[in-house]
Amino acid sequence: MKITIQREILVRSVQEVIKAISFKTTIPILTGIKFHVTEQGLTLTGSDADISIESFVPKEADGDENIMIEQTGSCVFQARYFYEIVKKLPDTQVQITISKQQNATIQSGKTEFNLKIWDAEEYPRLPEINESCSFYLSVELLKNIIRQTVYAVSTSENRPILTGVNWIFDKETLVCVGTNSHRLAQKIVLQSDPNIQIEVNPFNIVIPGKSLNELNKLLDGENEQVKVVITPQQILFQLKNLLFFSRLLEGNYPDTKKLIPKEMKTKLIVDVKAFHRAIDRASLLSKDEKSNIVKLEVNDSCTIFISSNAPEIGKVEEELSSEHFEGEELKISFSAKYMMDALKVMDDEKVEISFTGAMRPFLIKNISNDEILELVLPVRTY
Amino acid sequence: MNKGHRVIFHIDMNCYFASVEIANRPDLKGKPVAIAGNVKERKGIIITCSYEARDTGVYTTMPLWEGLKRCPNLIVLPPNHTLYRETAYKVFHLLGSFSPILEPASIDEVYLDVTHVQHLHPVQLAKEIQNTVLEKMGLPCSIGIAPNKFLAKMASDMRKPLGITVLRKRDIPDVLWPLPVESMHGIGYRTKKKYHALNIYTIEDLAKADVQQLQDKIGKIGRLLHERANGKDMRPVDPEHILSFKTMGNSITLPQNLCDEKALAEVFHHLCQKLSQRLIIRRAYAKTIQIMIRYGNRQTITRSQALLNPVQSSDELFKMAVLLFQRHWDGESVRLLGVSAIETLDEKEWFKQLDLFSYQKETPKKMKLSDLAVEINKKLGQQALMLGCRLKNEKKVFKSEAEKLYEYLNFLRKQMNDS
Amino acid sequence: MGKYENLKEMQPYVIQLLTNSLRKNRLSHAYLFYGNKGTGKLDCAFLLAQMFLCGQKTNEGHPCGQCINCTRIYSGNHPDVHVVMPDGTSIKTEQMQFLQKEYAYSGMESDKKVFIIKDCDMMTVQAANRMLKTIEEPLPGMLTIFTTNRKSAVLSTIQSRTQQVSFRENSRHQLLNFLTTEGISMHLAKVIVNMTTDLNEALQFGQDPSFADSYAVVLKLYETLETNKMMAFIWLHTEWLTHFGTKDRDKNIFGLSLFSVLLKSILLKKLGYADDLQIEEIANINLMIYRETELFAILDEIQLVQNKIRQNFNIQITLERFMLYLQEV
Repeated sequence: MKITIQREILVRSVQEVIKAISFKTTIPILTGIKFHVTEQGLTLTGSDADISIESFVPKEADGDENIMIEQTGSCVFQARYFYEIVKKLPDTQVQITISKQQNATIQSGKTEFNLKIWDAEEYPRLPEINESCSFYLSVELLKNIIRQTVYAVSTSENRPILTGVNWIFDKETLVCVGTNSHRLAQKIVLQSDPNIQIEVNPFNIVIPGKSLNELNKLLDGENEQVKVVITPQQILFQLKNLLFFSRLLEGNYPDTKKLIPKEMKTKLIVDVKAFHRAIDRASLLSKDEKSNIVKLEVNDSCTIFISSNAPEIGKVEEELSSEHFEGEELKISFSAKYMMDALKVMDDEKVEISFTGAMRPFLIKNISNDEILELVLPVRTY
Repeated sequence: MNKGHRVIFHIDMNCYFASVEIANRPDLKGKPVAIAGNVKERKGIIITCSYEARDTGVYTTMPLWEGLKRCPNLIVLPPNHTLYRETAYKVFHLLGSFSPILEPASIDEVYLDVTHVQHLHPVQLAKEIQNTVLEKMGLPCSIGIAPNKFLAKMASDMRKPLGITVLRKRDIPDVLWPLPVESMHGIGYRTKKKYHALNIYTIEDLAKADVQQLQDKIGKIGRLLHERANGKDMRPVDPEHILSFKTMGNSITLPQNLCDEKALAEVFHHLCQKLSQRLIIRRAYAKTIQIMIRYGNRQTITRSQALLNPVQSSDELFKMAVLLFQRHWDGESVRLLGVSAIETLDEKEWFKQLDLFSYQKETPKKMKLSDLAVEINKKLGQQALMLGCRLKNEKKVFKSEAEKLYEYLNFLRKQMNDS
Repeated sequence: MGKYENLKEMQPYVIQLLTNSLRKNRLSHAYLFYGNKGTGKLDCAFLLAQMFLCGQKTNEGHPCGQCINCTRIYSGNHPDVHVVMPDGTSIKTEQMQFLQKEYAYSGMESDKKVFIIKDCDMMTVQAANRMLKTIEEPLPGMLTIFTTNRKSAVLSTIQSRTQQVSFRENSRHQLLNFLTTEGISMHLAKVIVNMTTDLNEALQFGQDPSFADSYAVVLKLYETLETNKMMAFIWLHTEWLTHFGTKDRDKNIFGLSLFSVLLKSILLKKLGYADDLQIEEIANINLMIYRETELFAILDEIQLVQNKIRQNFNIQITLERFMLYLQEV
């Protein structure tokens, strides 16, 4: 392998893939960055096994030569040192040469580094892009799916499957569900939505929430569309010059459909901002996030009472009016955090909250559509 | 007369266990007497000893064999905790006749708010109390007189036995400040180092230390003790205090050092059962659980975990305790284990975050039963129906049996922490 | 391939069992490899991982040892082969959390994942229970191998949910063969097989460059005792301590082990139990310095001395006493 590359381009590319690398890994080779040079250009790969990022630098872009390729080949550099070195090299050009087995030289201006390298054969194989199961999403939609579902997933490893978001496609809709068993978020995308181009066989996969959060950081205005490829082991998001791979969660995701109450006994329509602020104020008195329990009472007069009681600190009570009320009177307690989290991801200014009793989950929906459904389990009190 | 100033007594029974023994056996009077822990099980440590024994160089926490070396005619008695406890209640009763605002702080010390006792000068009153306790019970005590609990406690420590010490606010710079910082109640052997690290060696240093720094480096307790070092302590003498502990727990020193996981789990099982009983009696739930592990080399760690849902049952406590233990135990042999609920909730504040996958199974059964109980109680009067396990508590004489047990355990724990 | 041939020779039944199961597609999802230290359990676990993942197995079911799957299993770089071993005295909860996560995630390269848990008796009960859940409901493509040299300490629930494979004690003859093929001289190899049957330990001894010198020092001790018992005390200072040092406990304990090998061989010879694995020196040394009963007593004494050194007794003083003991027996 022998190439000469613009330092700036190399640094940018390394910065992209190094995001995936963890130095705590148990697999030694994963502390490295893989270089793979073909006639078309240079591919860099970084991975912590859970996610992998591949960055491609084409030989030429917009008529400018990015890389001069003298000899193709591949190797793995120790990421930590390599990154520090290329950041500080003196010249605008960097020449990288595999001098002999397990050794490479990096030359820039009058500086020359001699680095030990690893055999690229040792590096994990990432799945081949399988065209048979791929579809396109607009960046905006993908970001929304992530924002509206990932927040709800579990962070505890007790039920690993719940640390992921379940994506189910049944030919008509793509349903994305996240839950930590105390609250649930569901986003539905219709096949007819212009933001999605999907014509594949039905699938049912679970993507780790952590991976989606990492992916979200890479999504920016530069990309308008993302190609999604599902392979048996991994899911791949193809951005411009960047591939993001994530392993999937194995096992069966619980069927949440039957856990969502169908009938309802009490229905409210509230202004999202005003309601959020009221809950926020009511939660001020609690000491910690876990036990910020807020009580909500409604009677037929369209007035909502929100209160919270912390024996050592004090009490807070607040009244606000509901835009609309129908059904039975209700007293219910819930975690203020879960309620606020759910309100934060709603699109509309007004939302509909429907209850089926003090001990059953309640639902929050946009008024204008059924795309998002947020569900919160109440808190049982004395 | 007092212009809003309070008069607080801290009454500290002098070498209490030994004194109780001597009071019950006049033949022991004037002789060196020591109470030592179970000789067979833990190499025997002197729990307390009479002043005659102290004169020969014997002190509390000294190993028994060493005590006998220094004082060959030392009379060693096993502890009779039932007797000490019962005697304590008599003492509390007796003191209660001087002022009803009485707060037992442990088995051998009591705070008494005598602000409203106007017919006698506080020093005279203290003398009367001291004499009465000595005559009627045969027990010596030291009394500290001060405008608040902290100063009263510091004062009672200054003259022993049978001392009466008045500590006014204006005495603080001369009397209190020169003392080393660890002589303050609330600063132990272990926390001392934290203060030393901030260049705080005397109470004066603490009184003049930067509050913000104390708050940052030591926490709330640092700020509190800073106030106390300046003679400020607003805590009331609270007769209910002993009943309203936020923290409760117990610990066991093992008969021998253990490193068998199963055997240690057994110990936790036992500790959690006890803790659960106490929670039930107090109608409380644990919100944060803490375990304590003391290793063979005396190194001690405490680890805690806040719970999603407050718990009360011994099974749930056990599950958490063992989880914590397994997460933090380094596999070395263990000398002592403890479990406490360091944050508790009244049952009225109990809550349970429902779960999506089990809410349908959430039994309204218990709910209904308790609702029913509430209904019946409404009709038949306050406490017609209650959970069986609470019944014992309701037969309050002075305190329930369970409270006695609790207090006794608390006392033991205190002894252990001090040593 | 050397490793594979060795394992096949040392644990023929185990290898046979595993290759057969694999060929008939009856591989269990979880194994418990048990047997004494150094009987090749871990090597065999790696071998099984290779058999499971190698794409170019021979007709007999042997892994090729050369494909990227095989080579990466040995270099530790295979992303779907996870090895957990005790960190200090136990397998830590973080390690178990990592394992649990790996169980939950799909394989990185294929649907096959291998988990090797070395010394699984060191798992805490809770950690073991966490494992149980995952081995109770195995997903296809998962292979878990537990190894232990204290089977009785392994949680019974793990024992009952795994296929148990016994590793027999290495035969000394095989060990001898193995050592000599590794380039260790027959002369020293014979000493080693009289010291240990632990394959790894034996190799370690054989590859230690100071081993021959240490053995020579020990032989000299015996010669000194032969020529003049009274010299032993001085000899200790001039020879033994200059070689083994006064600080290094392990080295001194090792030297004493060598000495007991020598004495044991003499004793066996005197009792008429000598076999072809006898150390070679037996032929030329004076067997008459100590009587059988005395040899028994000295062997016991050596153990005591070793224990003392282990327990932080002063090495020099302990050995001086031992020399006086040897003079007076």
